[in-house]
Amino acid sequence: MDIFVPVKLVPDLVEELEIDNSGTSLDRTFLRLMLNEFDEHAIQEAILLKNRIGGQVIVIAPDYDGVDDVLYTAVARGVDRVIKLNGDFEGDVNSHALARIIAAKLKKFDPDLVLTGVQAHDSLDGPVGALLSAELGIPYVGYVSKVRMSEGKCTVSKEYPGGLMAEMEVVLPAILGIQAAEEPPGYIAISKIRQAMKGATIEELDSDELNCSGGVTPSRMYQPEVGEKATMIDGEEDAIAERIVEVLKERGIF
Amino acid sequence: MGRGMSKASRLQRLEEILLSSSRGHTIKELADVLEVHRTTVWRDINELSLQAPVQESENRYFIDRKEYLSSIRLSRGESLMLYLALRKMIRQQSHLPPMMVMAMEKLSMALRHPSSVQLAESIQGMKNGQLSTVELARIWEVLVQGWIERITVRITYQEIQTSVVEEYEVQPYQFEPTVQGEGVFLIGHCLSHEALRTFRVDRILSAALTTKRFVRPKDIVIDSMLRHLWGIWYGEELTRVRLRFKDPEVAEQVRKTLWLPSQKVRDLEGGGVEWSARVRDVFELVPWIHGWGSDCEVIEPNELQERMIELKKNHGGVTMTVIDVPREVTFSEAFYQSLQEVLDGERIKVCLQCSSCSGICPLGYAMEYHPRKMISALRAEIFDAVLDTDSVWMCVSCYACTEVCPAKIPLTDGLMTRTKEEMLMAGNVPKELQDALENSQRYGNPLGESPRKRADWAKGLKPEVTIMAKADRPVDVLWFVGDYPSYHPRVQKISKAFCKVLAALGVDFGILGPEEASDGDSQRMAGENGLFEMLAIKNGKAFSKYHFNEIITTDPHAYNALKHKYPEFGISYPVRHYTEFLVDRMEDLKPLLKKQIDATVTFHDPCYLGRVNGIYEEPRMLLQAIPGVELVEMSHNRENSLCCGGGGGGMWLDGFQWEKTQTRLSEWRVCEAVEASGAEVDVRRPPIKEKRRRGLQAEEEKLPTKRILAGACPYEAPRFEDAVKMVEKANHLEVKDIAELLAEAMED
Repeated sequence: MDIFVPVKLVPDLVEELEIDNSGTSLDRTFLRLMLNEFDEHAIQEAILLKNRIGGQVIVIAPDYDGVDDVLYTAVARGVDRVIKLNGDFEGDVNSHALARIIAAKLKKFDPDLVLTGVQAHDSLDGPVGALLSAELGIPYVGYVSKVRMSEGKCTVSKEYPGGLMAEMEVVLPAILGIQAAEEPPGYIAISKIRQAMKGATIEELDSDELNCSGGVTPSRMYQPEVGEKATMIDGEEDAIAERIVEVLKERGIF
Repeated sequence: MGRGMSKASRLQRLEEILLSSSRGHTIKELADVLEVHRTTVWRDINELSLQAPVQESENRYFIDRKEYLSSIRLSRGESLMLYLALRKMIRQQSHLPPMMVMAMEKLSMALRHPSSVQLAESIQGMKNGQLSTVELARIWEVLVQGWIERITVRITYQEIQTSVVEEYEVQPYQFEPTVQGEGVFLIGHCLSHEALRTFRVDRILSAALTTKRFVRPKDIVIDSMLRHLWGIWYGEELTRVRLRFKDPEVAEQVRKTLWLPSQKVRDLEGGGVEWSARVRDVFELVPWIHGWGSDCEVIEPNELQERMIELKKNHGGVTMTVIDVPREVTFSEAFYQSLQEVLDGERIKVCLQCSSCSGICPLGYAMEYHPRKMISALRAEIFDAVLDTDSVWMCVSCYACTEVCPAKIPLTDGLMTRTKEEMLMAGNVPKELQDALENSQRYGNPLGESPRKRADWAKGLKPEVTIMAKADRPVDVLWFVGDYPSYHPRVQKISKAFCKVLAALGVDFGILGPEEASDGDSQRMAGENGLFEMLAIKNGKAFSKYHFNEIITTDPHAYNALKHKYPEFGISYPVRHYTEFLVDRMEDLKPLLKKQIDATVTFHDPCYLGRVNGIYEEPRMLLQAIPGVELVEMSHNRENSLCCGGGGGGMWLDGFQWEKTQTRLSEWRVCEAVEASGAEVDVRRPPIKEKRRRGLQAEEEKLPTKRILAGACPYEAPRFEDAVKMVEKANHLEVKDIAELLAEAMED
């Protein structure tokens, strides 16, 4: 059984985000990228599945800056194969474009199951998983936090808003948008990543032309702005604290 | 404690004390430690000399460790088992080594049973007839010393087959009795053959120690190899088996491996070998031979030959599973071995199980497996059970156990850190710590802050702080700022104060800013050595870009790493803790300290400044240089200082540890600080003796001026300030770093 996990890198919010001169997208000059947290859970869930039922886990990622480290870490976690898609992903690449190029590759691999993060904080045009489903014509279930396999199908637990849980059966092959792995991803020691760097090979595939059509086009991108009714309190910590207490008293909360 | 002690436990304690020091102790010192009168010590020493090799030199008493393994306390049943084993050995020996007879005598005396006494007497008879020569006794002495102290021995040996006498140099790994009952084998690496060889001790004609020490390779665990293989194949009625291995590569493997001490290997033409041995039940060899497949051909005996041919027919020549895999080295064995590779690690062998480590451990009470019990589990080969618990994450790497251990076992560097490493490799890491380690991997600091903002704390300071990459000039002193001083709002204040002190002294200094990464020392002590190495190399690269004369730091953890661990990666610069650096400039510093700070100040010795690096006086000298400061000591101070709880990953295990203990070490310490500086203390936790509390209440009225808990480590200010909020009646206590007090004293 082959479980494919397409992953992507997203801007790390530890660094302050800046808007570029066009005013419609992020300034990527100093952008630090990290693995989308939901994708990390998708990798983890795939490994948990593999440990239960066997098979192999293949992680596939577009070539972003720093993707090699992410792929080696995946190997250290227990992923069997890692594939890098070559191409220009430095600019604004939306989910539609990613879904198209990943689908083109997945068609050739004929996967039994595809797990991917249910969302990413930079996906303005929807999650890659659902779009992949449209491209490949196979079923998709999102917000999944538990997967059980049986002959030719799987049973998944999906969370609905308001804390409702549903259990549903999906015929394979299928795509699952993972919200959380059954066990959170554990710590991977540096020495294990180093071992992976020595032992594993990152396979490389060339990707097709990027096609971003069908997505959304931002007309303006901007930092959060101070609303008219908000008052910012400046000054030393103690003074700020005192002022907050005063305000709370004034409004009758204290 | 002395007077309440029973005589037996006093004698035991005396024995431990005498064992622990090579210099020895005077009667007075012993009387002080044991809290008894000198005449009692005198009597006890005389009594102890009857059981242990107590020696005296220039009125100092000690136990010669060379003469003395350790005090093993055996139950009567255990003594009987040892006695029986010895008895069997003695019966089978044609020449008795004197130490064997002595051991027998001691054991039979210890058993104090009429039958064993009788047996002991019967040995007397044996001794006369069978006792070995002086030379054999000497050979045994040498072999045992070589084995225990890992010294290569030179032996002359008479070959069993040819009777030719040869000289060999051997690294003794193990002694093993022959199962047929003819003697004892020495197993060791023979330098002349460059291979593992066995020698019958009674065929060794002479033995001498060389000056060469050796390290036993960690992949060799003879013990388990022997247990697996010898047990199956040995017996009394022996049949000769001859096997032929034609393939030269396979033959090479056969030549190198020792399956049976009696095996013989003869070279054949064309590179093959013929292997022969005498075994009891030849059919027990079947799976093993079958495992070799077509590489192995049975020549003798016939019944084995036929059986193998039949097997091959039945299985169509397909090789069955190889059963002869030597028993896998157990985790406990491998781990025990790895502990001995740490500096002085082999001392773990002499652990007396005295439990001083577990007793002094500030969090030992909350560990299912405290250090003493961990060693005991290791010896029982059930160390896996230790890893099934999360005990070791209670360890704050404060070195209190290492400091107190009478056998000087490197408990913190070895046992605790290696255990954390194993937990980490297995992914068994509390979430808080995992986050800190992942942050260190990704951002170069455990707080998960942007590395680009590492020097933001220094923005707007006057005079401007030199950032090396921007300044592009050599400086006198490179200040390694560290994680918390760069990012933590409370500790940033200390950084700013230290800037002021440096500026006032006219020190030409610079910082690395965004190029600096975490020193990694606490990550290392939390078991993440690979991460430490990565961070060290990153910092090393940054250092190498600039010119400076020395590195200073306010962080004892960084100091420890830079001083002792970075040089292992070739990153070697003179480094000083800021307290050392400032004491050196005391003449310039003192006139600047004009402002009086009327305060009772008590100093908390940071573990990595004090116990680990022996810096106790410099911080105190700085405090005493401040006019108005009255320095008082807490009950735990200097070598005996109590950890703030932040070391060894403790900084990132706060919630985890709190869940287990419902208190923090920092709170305990703050109680002590309040007590030392004369204020009333919260008596609820941790408990303080009734007597002391009454004393405190009496003093309560004369509350002096300020009370300050001073530190010299970036972990402390935030930890202690939080603790002050938790401990009742501690709100008079201020927490300050020495740098802050110095800066304050410089104000006009």
